[in-house]
Amino acid sequence: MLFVACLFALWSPLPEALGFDFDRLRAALLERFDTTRLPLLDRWQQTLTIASTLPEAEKLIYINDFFNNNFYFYDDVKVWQQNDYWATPMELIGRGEGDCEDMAIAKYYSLKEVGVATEKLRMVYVKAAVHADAGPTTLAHMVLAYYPTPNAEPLVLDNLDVQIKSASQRGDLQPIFSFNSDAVWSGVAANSTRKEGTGQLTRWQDLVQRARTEGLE
Amino acid sequence: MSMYRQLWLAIIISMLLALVGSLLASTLSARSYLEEQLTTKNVDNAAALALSLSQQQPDLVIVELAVSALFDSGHYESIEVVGPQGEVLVSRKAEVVVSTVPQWFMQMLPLDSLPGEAQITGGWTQFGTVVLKSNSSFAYASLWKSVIELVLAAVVAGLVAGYLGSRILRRLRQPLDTVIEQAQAITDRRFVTIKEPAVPELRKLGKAMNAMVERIKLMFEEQARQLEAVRREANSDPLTGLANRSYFMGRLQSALAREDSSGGALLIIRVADLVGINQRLGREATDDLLRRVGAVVSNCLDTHGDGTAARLNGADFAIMLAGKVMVGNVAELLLARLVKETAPFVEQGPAVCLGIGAFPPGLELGAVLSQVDAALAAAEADGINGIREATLGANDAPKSADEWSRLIKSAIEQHRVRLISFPVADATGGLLHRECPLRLKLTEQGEWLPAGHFLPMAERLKLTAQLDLAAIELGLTQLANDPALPGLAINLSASSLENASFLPRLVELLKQRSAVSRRLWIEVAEAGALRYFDGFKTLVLAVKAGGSRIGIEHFGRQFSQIGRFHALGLDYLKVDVSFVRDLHNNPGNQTFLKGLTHIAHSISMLVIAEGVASDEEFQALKVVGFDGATGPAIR
Repeated sequence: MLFVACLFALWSPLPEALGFDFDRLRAALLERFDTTRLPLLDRWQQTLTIASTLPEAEKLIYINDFFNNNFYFYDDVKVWQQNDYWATPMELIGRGEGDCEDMAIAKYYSLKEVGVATEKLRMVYVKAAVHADAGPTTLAHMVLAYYPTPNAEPLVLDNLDVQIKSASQRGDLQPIFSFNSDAVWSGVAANSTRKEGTGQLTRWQDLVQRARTEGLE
Repeated sequence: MSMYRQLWLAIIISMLLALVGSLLASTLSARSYLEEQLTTKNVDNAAALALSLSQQQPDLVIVELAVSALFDSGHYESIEVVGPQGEVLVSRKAEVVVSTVPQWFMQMLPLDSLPGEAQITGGWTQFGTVVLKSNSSFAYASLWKSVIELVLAAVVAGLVAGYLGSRILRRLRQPLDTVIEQAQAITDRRFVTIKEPAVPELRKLGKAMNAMVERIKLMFEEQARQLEAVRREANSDPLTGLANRSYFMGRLQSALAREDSSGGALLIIRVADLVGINQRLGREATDDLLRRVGAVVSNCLDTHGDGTAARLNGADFAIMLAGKVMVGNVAELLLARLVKETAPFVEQGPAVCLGIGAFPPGLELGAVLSQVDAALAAAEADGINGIREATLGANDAPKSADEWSRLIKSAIEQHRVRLISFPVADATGGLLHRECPLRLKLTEQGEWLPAGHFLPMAERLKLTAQLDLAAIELGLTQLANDPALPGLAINLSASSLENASFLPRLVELLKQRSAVSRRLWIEVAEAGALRYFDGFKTLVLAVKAGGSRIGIEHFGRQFSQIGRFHALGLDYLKVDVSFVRDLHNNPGNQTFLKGLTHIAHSISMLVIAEGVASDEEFQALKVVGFDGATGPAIR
């Protein structure tokens, strides 16, 4: 079925819904990274193109797999030499690696792009139980949760467990706090027009602005 | 609108714009800062509340308690928790916002803060969304306070700026006024120079105008110098430098006939046997003798004040002294000096003899001359260096100074003063104005005395100011009674200017009758104006400011001083009779007067001749450019 979808994507024109300006994205990527990152960007573009034609449940799998398969998961400090840096999807592609927030953010942007309603998506801070070499331990972690309906049990898009599972199947994760990016989005929009240059941004707002300058709306 | 006012307006407007602009800018920026602060607070508080609730399995009771606790402890407008389906679970809203800030202010500058939103979850299940809005009344109060402070600061700044602005304007205005004053003075024919202003633009203007005034002054002085040469040549004896016969006769005539003349004395000096000396010692020695005699005669005049000295013809010299003079004493001294001076030239017999006589005003010129000539002939017949005195007219019984003072004062108080009048014609024969000298009756039964009789005494007693003011008052009344009269001239004594109260009183009179004072002409004799020159200058300004005209009478005898009158802005000159007498036969004086009218006209002064005695004189005056004439021939 995936194959059929790929074929379909090859000979059909790109859907109009695709809002990202990939020429700009390419230029932004080349500005900071070298040409070896371009194939990854192109693959992302293909993935988005195909995913946008799929039903919602498959979109989740398709996008989740793309990120989990193509990027290394590292702790922030190593990648950005700065504690807990929130990278934009372009920075993630440029580095080819990122931490849990970067992955969740990239998945969020991608799902939003292929037509998943943002009110169904939540960024969730979780306490994750992991089995490291030294033994079992807990980890401060972030995942993307998908709520098919507001009261439903969410699906968890994670990079520790690459399979999408329902929340009840993820006993290793204990949710602490979640935020809906919508309110923050509108906050950013308002900020950019009315309260420019105040330097008072939340972390999410800061990210959204950086992404916007790179060409991600 | 005056430049000063426009500058003021510009300062005020720009200041207002700056103040209102800065007020607006800072208020708006304060507002946007407050809005942002409120939004940040909303977001942070919502997040904190949601975070704390998410930590415990939230149920409605816990959430409601937590919301109430937060709401009651802080400054919130509303806190709501909305369920995942959009249903309101908990809601707290403030009833009234108590505030000292006026309603209109809040409506004009609304503070729109965004509500803070955050998710409450119980495990993986969504419980709801916190929507939180802070109370903005504190922000309004702070904004209101800052606006009030800004307005106060703006008012203070405005006052300071206004004060500084007015200082600057005053600094600018002062030099501007100086320049304007100079321009005004130049239009009034007063050629004054000013101190160059410090402001560069005005300095150029001031410099240019000063240069122009200087140039006019130089031109004027040059013309005056040339004219002075002409005047000397026409009216003086080339050998001795004394006046010539025709000039002397004019002066004598004037002393006899002029309204304000107080008489005088005539001395005729004859050098004896000039023909013999000429034959014996030669022409050069004779000329030397005549020059020496001329010097002694001239010296005598200098020591005895106002008058004229002349060489009448070959051997005859004459001195006319104005006013009451002890002529006998003067003659004795003069004779002694002359005898000494001529001694080297005389072999035997008399060297000089004198015929003298003191005359009251009003006598005939011919009678005076013939009687003094007769006295001279008698002295000559005596055959020695001698003096004979002719008795001319009857002298009044002398009065004491106290008596004079009492009489003049009572005449003024009891209005025993009146103006008589002579017409002054313009060049076409029409009436220019009437010249009105003052006459005064010392006693109720006495006769009307012309100025010459009482003026010298009044001057000595310093009573001329009262007399002059009386005359001005009479003149103004007459002008008011006769609206058809084109003008009326009053002559003032320059000595009145010594009286400090005279000028203010005169100005007041002119102001009171400003309707008629435009037709008033005020004149001062040349000699007096020069003697009290500073006072005269003030008088000119005051009279011109009052709208009347001012001029000099008996002008020309001290022509070389014309430079001092040039910058005053005088309206007219009345030229002394001595230059007018026999003008049609005197090409020298014609040249002089032609030049005089030319330079007077160049500074817009009228020139009027005094004592015109014949139609020939009047015609000749017209030819040389006179604007008017008065005298026996003018009816």
